[in-house]
Amino acid sequence: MRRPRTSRPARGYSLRRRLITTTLGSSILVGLVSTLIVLAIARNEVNDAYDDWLEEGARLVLALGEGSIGRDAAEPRPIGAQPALRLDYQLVSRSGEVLLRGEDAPKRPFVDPARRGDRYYDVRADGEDWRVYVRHHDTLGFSAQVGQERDDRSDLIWDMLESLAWPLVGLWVLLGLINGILIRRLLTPLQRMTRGIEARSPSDLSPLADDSQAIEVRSITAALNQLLGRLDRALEAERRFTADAAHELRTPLAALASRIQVLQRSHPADQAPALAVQLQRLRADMMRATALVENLLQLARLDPQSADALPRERIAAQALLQDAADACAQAAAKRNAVITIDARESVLYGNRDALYTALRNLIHNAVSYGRDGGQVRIAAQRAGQHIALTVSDDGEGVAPADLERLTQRFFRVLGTNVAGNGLGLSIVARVAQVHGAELRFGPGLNGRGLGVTLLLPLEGAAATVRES
Amino acid sequence: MRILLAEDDVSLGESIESWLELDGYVVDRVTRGDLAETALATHDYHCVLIDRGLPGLTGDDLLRRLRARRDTVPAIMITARDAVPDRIEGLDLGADDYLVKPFDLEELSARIRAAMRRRDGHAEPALSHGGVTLDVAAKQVQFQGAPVDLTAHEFAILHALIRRPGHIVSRAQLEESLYGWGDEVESNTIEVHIYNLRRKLAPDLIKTVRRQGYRLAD
Repeated sequence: MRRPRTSRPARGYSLRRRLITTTLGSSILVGLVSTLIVLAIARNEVNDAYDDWLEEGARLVLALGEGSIGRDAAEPRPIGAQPALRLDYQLVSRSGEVLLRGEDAPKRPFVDPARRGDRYYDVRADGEDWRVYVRHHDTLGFSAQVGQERDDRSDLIWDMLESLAWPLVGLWVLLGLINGILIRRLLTPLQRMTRGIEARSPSDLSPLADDSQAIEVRSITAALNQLLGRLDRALEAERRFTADAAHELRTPLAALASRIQVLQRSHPADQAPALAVQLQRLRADMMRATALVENLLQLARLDPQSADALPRERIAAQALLQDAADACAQAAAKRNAVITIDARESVLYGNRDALYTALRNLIHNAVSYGRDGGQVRIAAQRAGQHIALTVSDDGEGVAPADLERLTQRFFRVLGTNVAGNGLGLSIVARVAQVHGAELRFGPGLNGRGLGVTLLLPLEGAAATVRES
Repeated sequence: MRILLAEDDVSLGESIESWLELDGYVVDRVTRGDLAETALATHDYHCVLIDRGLPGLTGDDLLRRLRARRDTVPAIMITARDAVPDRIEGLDLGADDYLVKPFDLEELSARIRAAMRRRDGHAEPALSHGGVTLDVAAKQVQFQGAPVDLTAHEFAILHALIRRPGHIVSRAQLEESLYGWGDEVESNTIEVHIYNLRRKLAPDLIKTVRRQGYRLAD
């Protein structure tokens, strides 16, 4: 198993920018290296050519020297007309005396004439580096030493580099532009995919459209689609499990409930009072279990994943509030609670069954957790772009610490002595979620108790507001 | 009154059967859809209770075939499927009513009475004819305002006759409404009950139609 990566790298990078910098960087590097190679080759070639010049110059100087020995040095002409090809010569006697020399040539011989052999020397004279060719006269004994400053040679290389550099920089800029445009274009399928995924609703787990021709993008799409498929199946399995479990529990619950009822009927209270009491309790327990199963089924049915499939309609507010209040009338009568209805808005938009269940749960809570002989007020009124459905009581209220846990499944405020399974408010929260409504808890009536408000979007707004 | 109960959960079926028998109905209980179809083809029932998820033949198909045969017996569907589309589907298949498990047996009884009442064309819960008033829910019979004490069998026969006054009810039909499968049928029981009814109510209330059966006097 690979270790799952729990967090993203802290700093992301742009694939596009990185592609451009790497392609451009590598081209610059390759360009530099090839320039160096070109320069090295050029330098060798230039050296060879200049060396030939030196050798040729030495031969000429020697030939000239034959005729001019013993005469005053005539104004010498440098060999080579171009300034870049400036050669400096010396005619050196066997004893090391410079007999004749060029204008810029050092006064001392480049090379000690004692050294025999016609060859090249690299010497330092007058603070400069020289390349020198020495040629000895076979019979007269003097030698011609023709030198060239190293710097003159390098200058040529530098000139070459200079003339190479600008076109090279131009090429790099062109390469950068072309790469930038091409890479941007090549990466558009990824951006399109991102936009496509971002535009999806949270409940949309359908496969992504596979419209790109690029194999890499296709493989990402395929992998994502596989993941989406697995996720969808997992969610579906979870939903189905809850629904199936609750569903399958119904028949045995019905069998149990029926048996209890048959027992109750065949043992009426006037014949077996003790048994009748136990049977009544058994039946109450039975009903609690049934309510729990029903609540689980409702929760499963109100799954946000299938919120889009939930049919919505216009609902008469007064009738809905009245129906929900009627469903709790018995419980209210038991506690002498008075339920008042204040429907200032006439029409709601949503799923009637879901809203009815939510209101009934809220009223039931208000009656159960309110005080004996208390007030419960149900109101529907406009609040901006919403309709606020509020159920308030004047009971003990809920401690601030418990408020945020109220909608958790199976959470119950301790020490209230009220029967329940802790699913009622979870269902309300789920109803709010699938309606894109906000659930708010606030103070109840007369500054005490609890007031629960469902901020239901108006029709039209409901279509665009989905669960967050 | 004879009721067919098609429910594959044996325990639930037994309880419903016991309950309906306490109500005074004769109950035939089957656990398979195909057996229910056979029973419906061979016996007269006043009401059928069908579980939707039956083995052999689903409750839906059973009901569909029943209605295709133009059998108008009141049918109540019993099911664990409670979603609104399921209810609509069930009712559109031809069910007269739809009960979601777990249900209250009192409610089941009331719905059976209502379904049979509607089938007979009555809206009022009590049936009356010729001075006789029969309250099915309360199991009470009054004759000219005075309560009359009837046995369960006498009540059932009077109920069968008063459902459609003027119509002839055969001896076999009356027997069907008194006895479930396996019950011993005595040869002259119906005559005995008719005799007792005439004695307790009025001698000329129930007419004998030779070779055909009985009917209430107009």
